[in-house]
Amino acid sequence: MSTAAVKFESVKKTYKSRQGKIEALKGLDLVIPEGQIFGFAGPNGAGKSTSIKILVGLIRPDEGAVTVFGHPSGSKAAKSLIGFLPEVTLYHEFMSAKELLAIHATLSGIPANEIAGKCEEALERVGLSDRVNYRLKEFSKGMKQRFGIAQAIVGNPKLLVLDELTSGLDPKAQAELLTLLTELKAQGLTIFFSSHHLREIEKICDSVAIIHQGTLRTSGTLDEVLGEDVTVSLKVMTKDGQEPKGELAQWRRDSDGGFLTIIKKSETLALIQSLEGQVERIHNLETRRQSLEEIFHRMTPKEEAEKS
Amino acid sequence: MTAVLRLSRLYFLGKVRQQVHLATLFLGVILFMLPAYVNAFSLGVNAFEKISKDFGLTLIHYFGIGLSILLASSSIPNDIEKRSVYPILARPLNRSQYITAHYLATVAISAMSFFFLAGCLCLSMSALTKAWELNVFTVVFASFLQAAIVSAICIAFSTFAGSSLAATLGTVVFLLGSLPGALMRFFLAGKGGSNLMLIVATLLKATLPNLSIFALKEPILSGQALPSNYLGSLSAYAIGWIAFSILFATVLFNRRDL
Repeated sequence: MSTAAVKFESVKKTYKSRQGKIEALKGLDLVIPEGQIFGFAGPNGAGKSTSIKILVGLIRPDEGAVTVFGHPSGSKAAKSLIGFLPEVTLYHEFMSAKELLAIHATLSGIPANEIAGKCEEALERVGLSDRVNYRLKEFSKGMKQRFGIAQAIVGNPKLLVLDELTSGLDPKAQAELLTLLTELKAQGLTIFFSSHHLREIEKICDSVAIIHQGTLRTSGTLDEVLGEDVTVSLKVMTKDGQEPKGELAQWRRDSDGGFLTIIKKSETLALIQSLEGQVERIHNLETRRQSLEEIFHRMTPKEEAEKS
Repeated sequence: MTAVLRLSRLYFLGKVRQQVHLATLFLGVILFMLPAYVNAFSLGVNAFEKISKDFGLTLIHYFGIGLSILLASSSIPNDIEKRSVYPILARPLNRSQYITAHYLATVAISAMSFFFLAGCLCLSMSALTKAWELNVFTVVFASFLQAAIVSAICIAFSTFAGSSLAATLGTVVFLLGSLPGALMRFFLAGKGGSNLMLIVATLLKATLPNLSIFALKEPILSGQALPSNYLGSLSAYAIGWIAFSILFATVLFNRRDL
């Protein structure tokens, strides 16, 4: 049984603006197990960034508490356990990777005599050991994100918080970074991974949460979140060419004259029994698990989901 | 402290690359040529030394203060806008350390500009008068102390306001603080002014830093001797205001959601 790396307990946050109060988080409860890659999804304005900022200590919740390995978020103890890569960061590009990393290592409290070694190690882990003395302005976007991970891990964190890591990267660079994350997880890091790319989350995350309008819509292991939504796609040819009768399913006519429906797996037997006498033959029957994207769209109103 | 110095070096290197320093170089060239130019048009009247020093020191003073306000007001807002503040403040670092690092970087740049320009003026003056005009540095040091106070105040403003507003507020503090008390009362209350305005003027003078005490140009140029330890007292006054402003900035910035 893994312990909790991060706990959000009834966390509320309200922003005041000229338009009035905006409730960004309305009592968020969330537990992130240690040693996992945790995917955090939600449409724009759902409260993801607010949650991340509270987690890393950039803002304080109005109510509730967030702990990182048992330490209150924002405390020095909690911050020393976190490596953070924000969504968009303009680094000081005139500096070399090694120089800037050394500054981040100092800020993380690494002793002076260990800094050079730690920087080399971090750059090695993200595959930039051959670019140690290159200035950041000479880096591609993918390399900058790799550097971003290096600056996040240089302080020996136990929790890596990554906000939209692969945003704006080409597919190859995205795939490389996802591979890197699985390698970092294998090295013992807990990874909090916020992304709009739901396929990425589905691909690499052990557990997932979907947040919408400041409240948690679902959370759990990927199997728990996706497993309840196994569906069956059934296509039948009827004897009379008419739509099958009964209220168990909604049918649509296919181009070859057959009728197609998608139902929950648990309803399959009852539906097939109800079709007795009406059906000439079952043309096709397949089970499939819903994708995270489908669950996401169902749990968030259409207009919100489209924004993401 | 190591963390603050390292961070400060990072910000210093960032600020030193800004194009505004080309203006410092340009002004340095002007100051280098100024005494010779004034001398050429003095038509035998032996006042070029005073005119050059007066004009040169005034230029250095206002340019240096302007540069300090510009750099100090934009440091933190730029960092927030570029989001480069996030990975820094997510570290086990106090916000006071972050503010201090920005302040030290700004003051270092400000000191470099002030003393580079003073050096240009001093060298060119010395070449013409055949004597080292080191009193230029005394006046510029006092101007630098003013700039250091105004920078700290601008940084405090920039913890809750954007760079333009922080610069405007900083400029207002500089202008009001530079006015002698009697002059401020005259401007705000006038001869027939209300008692309320007189109280406002007195309150402003009491709450804002008194920058008029840093104006050493006139006494130095007229050959007056400064009281012993005057520069020491000025430095102590400046350090007090800087410490207060940084503390105030920290209190404000600690309350801010980023």
